Amino acid sequence: MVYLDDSILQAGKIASAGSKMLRNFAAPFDAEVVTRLNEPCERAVLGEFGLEPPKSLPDGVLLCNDVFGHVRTVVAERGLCSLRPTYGTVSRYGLIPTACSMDQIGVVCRTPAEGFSLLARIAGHDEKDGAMFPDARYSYEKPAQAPRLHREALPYADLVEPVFHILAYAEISGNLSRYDGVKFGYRAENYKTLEELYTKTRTEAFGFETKLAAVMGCLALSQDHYAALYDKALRARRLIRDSLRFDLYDVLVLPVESRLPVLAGLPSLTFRGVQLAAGVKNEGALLAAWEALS
Amino acid sequence: MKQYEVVMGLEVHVELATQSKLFCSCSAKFGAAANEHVCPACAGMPGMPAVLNKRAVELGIAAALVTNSEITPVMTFDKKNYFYPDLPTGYQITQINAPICRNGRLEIETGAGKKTITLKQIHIEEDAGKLVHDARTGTTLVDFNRTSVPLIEIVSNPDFRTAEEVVAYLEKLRSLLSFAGVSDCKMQEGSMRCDVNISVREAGSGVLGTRTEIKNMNSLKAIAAAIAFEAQRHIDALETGRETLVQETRRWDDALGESFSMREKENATDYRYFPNPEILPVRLDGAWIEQIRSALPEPAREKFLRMTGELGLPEVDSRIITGSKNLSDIFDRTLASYGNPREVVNWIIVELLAIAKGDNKGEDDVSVDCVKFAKLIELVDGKTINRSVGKKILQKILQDGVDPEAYVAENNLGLVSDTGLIDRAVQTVLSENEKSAAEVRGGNEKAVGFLMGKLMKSLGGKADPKLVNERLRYWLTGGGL
Repeated sequence: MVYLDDSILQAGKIASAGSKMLRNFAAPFDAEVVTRLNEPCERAVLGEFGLEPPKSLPDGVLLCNDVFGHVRTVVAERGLCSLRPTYGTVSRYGLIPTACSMDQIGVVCRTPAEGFSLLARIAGHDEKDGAMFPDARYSYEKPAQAPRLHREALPYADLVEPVFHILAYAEISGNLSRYDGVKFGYRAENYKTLEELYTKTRTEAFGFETKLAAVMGCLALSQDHYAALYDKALRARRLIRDSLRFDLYDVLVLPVESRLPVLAGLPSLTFRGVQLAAGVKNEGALLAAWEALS
Repeated sequence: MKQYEVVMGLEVHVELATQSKLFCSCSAKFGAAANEHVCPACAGMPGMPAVLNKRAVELGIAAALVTNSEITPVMTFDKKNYFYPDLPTGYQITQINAPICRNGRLEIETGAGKKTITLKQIHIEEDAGKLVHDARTGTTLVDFNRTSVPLIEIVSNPDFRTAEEVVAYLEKLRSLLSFAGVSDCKMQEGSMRCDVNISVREAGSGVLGTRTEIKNMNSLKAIAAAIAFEAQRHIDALETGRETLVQETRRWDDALGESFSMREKENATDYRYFPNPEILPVRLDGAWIEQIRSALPEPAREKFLRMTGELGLPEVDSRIITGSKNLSDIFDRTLASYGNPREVVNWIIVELLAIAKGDNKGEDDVSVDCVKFAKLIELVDGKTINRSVGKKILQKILQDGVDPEAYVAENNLGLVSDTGLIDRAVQTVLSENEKSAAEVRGGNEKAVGFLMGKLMKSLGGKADPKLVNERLRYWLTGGGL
């Protein structure tokens, strides 16, 4: 059984992206991945627009757009596998957008082989998505020889986290502005003016993380802060991308998570050094449009 | 009294003549019932990525070419963010950082001579929807048909000094863009809209005065009137000091003949522009541009020269035909079916436009089946029918789409040129109207018209008037006696 993140549209079914804002939004059409899967799917409600950790993960293969990495964290704790394909290889037609330059449907599965076989079915060019690689195929086979290992320092590791958040928040702030209570989705009651309709609707229907992302994103794009935040982050993103030496190496191996899993009765532990690398692992892959496997 | 100089720059929005919208496959046609041309994408629903309309880019390149602009090698799109109910996504997709072209120039001609107007840039963007206020119920409704219809905005430098220059520029733009197939440029339908940025300074001053922007003019006449009003308002403010000019947007009320402040909020809106990550940068490579350049239709000026030169047509007529892309197309298509340019022009200007005017249509709206139209002209030219029968059949073509040849045959409208038949009719009419006949013989030429009328009627309107006149004169002057 394949589960779909609630931000993937299925004709006639509610696609809420985990938000109260869209809890009455019946999708008008099937997402491209749904069409390509061509089998019955169950839905899984994760965190609101991927900005919050999911309360639980379904017991089965899951397709989701894990921009903010919350799903991957849970996956790591559970010992599952998370496969994020290269940007622009799986159609986003029918995916509720969060941060368009990083949105990409990926797979949560038990083994890489299972994930790749699913990717092979859903990946490939779709003219309904305007930002795709013309040709992308996935297959899975074990390497013939054992890999040679090298230790390499990542020069911009400390930039990854802030750059990721500035860009992701800026982009999601733009994508959230369509939810205004006018056309579809949640609408507040008792308003007198248009301004009040907008404000009340968003106040009542967006969760804390979503409000935070919208406000931070607007700040990064505002005239006063654009140069110092958004524009600088765009430049830094290019630096980070070019610093990942995929011209020399095939694979970059990093820890996924900085914290140890929360065990019953024990406090959660965080290691600073590990956290940086985890940032590169999760968000670095997003910023550089590379695929990631955990 | 001080001398003042008016300084103006224009922002002209032109709807591109594409079949579909800029980022979805909805129809971009004007005039449908409210919200008929809407899909999840242009209604702002989440889940449909923007896919750029290639035809819109090609038309943008055509606009760049006819305005002598420098085309950007790689153009990009940006998002302009603001909340308004006519903007379903909460952002407009436009071009800020790398518009399709920059630094264009156009030559205009006014009574004061020739002048070059320079363009800052042209960018592609999507249109917004339309709000319809219902005064009766006090509600406001939204129509998303126009949402995401592709536009280009042509931004000029502040090169204009008179309303005459502005009008000449807009006419030139309309001619260039409509002949290149970029847009139909109909101001009344809003497919061409013009905002005027205007300021006034003392003549000779190098510093620009406070600028206001006037919107909502939907004809060249309204634009000229708005400029005259606004310039005078600025001069009065400078002269008397009774009003302080502020930089603002003003709405022109054509009925009242005044401009009104749109009273935007004190702090200017921050549109939070940023590069749109949904749409990949578009490479405008030389080969593509050349392909579009070589496919550009003949511009009005060249067509005028060809009509007056090679085809030997009068300047007045050629100017009327090349003043409208639509008439020009009708001319070309009709001429392709019947190669007599003088008669084709004649029928378009004298007959077709007269009928169109009666139906409240102008040069840009009149339409006719050009193959049937050509056949009709040929029938008259070849004396199969006479001209007045031809006019009636043209009406029938426009109304019912009749085939002229079949219609003539079915209704027995062929030209009567049987001299025996005409002679018998002349004799009957003369014997029934002896008084008039006597008057003509006495030298009263006016009575000829009366007799001709009677004759044509008795011949069912189908006779060749020239021949009838000839036979009438023959019998009046004694007829072979």
